[in-house]
Amino acid sequence: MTENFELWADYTEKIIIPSIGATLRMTFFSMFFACIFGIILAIFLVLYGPHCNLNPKPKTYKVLDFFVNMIRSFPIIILIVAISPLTKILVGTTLGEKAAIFPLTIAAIPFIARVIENALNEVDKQLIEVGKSFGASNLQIIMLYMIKEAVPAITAGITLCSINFLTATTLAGAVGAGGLGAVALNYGYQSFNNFILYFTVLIILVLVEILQISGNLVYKKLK
Amino acid sequence: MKKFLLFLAVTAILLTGCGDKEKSTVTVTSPKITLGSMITTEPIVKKIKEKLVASGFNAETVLFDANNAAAIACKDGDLTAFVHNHKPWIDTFNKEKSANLTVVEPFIFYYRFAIYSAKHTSLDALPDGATIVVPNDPTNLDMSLRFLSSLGFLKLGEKRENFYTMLDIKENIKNIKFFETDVATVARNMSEVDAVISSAIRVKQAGFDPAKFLVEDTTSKTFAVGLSLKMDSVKDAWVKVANDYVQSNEFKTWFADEYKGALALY
Repeated sequence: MTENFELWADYTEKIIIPSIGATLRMTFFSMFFACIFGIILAIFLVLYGPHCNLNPKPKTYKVLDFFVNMIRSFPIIILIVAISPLTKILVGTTLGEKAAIFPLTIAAIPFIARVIENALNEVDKQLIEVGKSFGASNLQIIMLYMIKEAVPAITAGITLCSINFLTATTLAGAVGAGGLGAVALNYGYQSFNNFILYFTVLIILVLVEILQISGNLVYKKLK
Repeated sequence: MKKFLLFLAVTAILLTGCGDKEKSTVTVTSPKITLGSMITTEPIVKKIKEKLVASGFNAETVLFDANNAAAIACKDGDLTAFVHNHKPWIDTFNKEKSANLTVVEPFIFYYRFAIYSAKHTSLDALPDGATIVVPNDPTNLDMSLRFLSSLGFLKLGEKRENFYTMLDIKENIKNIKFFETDVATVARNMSEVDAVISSAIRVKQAGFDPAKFLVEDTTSKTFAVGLSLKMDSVKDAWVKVANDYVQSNEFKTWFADEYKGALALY
């Protein structure tokens, strides 16, 4: 019994705790970069899109729309492998956490952009008219009126996206990035160790709950 | 309901059609020798078939695409022999399916498992704190750790579960920094790190020279592959012809040239 306990302690200390760190780092950094680029992309989608009548450019919008859909259609594990030459050039390595963060970010950008675009499109059209009547430029309208109005919806969208990509990081074990998914798969499932498997799943569940609850709190504050 | 019955009938007819076809090519009463393989070992059985045909036997080859398909076909008598699974696998297969397959000795080749490096040319050149990529699945990780321990790079404690894991490293003598990745991607990372531990065939697939390894795992010879068939057909005349052929210099030269070290002659 004591020996078993030691083994579990060992597992927790050397395998599980570092992998929680790896999962959180990967989620945080990929979300951070994806939010920056996602917002920029969303602004262009709204600016050129047909919904808000700001500066509709159907052709440009179609191209952007196509790329957003294309990247979103890649299963993440395939994206990680498919863009590995690009990862090598930009990140300098195809191994480890950094190498996983890049494809995760690439996958998250269109997702976040789409979520924010939808949030912005939901903004009352009269607000846009008001902005126009004040002589505000399109960019000012988006930045000062629409985003401000859409912040709660954007927060909810980013929460949704973060949870999505928290679970997506579990695939990053394939490129040596570690993380809870790799532990559940290799030390749990493949080693016939159900305790590790379900314990890891439980940790992921807790992380998801924390994200959702804090997302909800922020949403309530902003609403 | 009617439609469903019709669908069932059509499927049944189609299925029986398929079954008949397969049988007509595989189980013919004339002593036709059918040799099975997977894509990797296909050139070998083709070579053996050529030799058998030249010696007056009636032989043909069949390509399989699932790891255990050839063994099952052979056990059921639809296939005369095959070259694919290694000896320990066949032994387990025999036990689990109560089959009596055997791998004819001498063996043909084995799946080489070795340390490869794109940066260093010898094992001694590996620096202290070297970065090494190892496969992350339990069986291969277990093999890699025992391999490194046999080289004196680390000390393993007692095995506490089915496989050795990172937890069982008692002393990391060479301060190796491990990266655990999917077994299929290990060799692809060769130029990123000091060394990788991989099977030769994956190294070849990743575009590196499988013959240029630093040191090979001595236990990989356990995974020997040879002509596998039912125990009762070991004495058949063609087996001797095939066996003599795979031991000939002609075959060995061809093999070395064909696989270029991805599979190692036993």
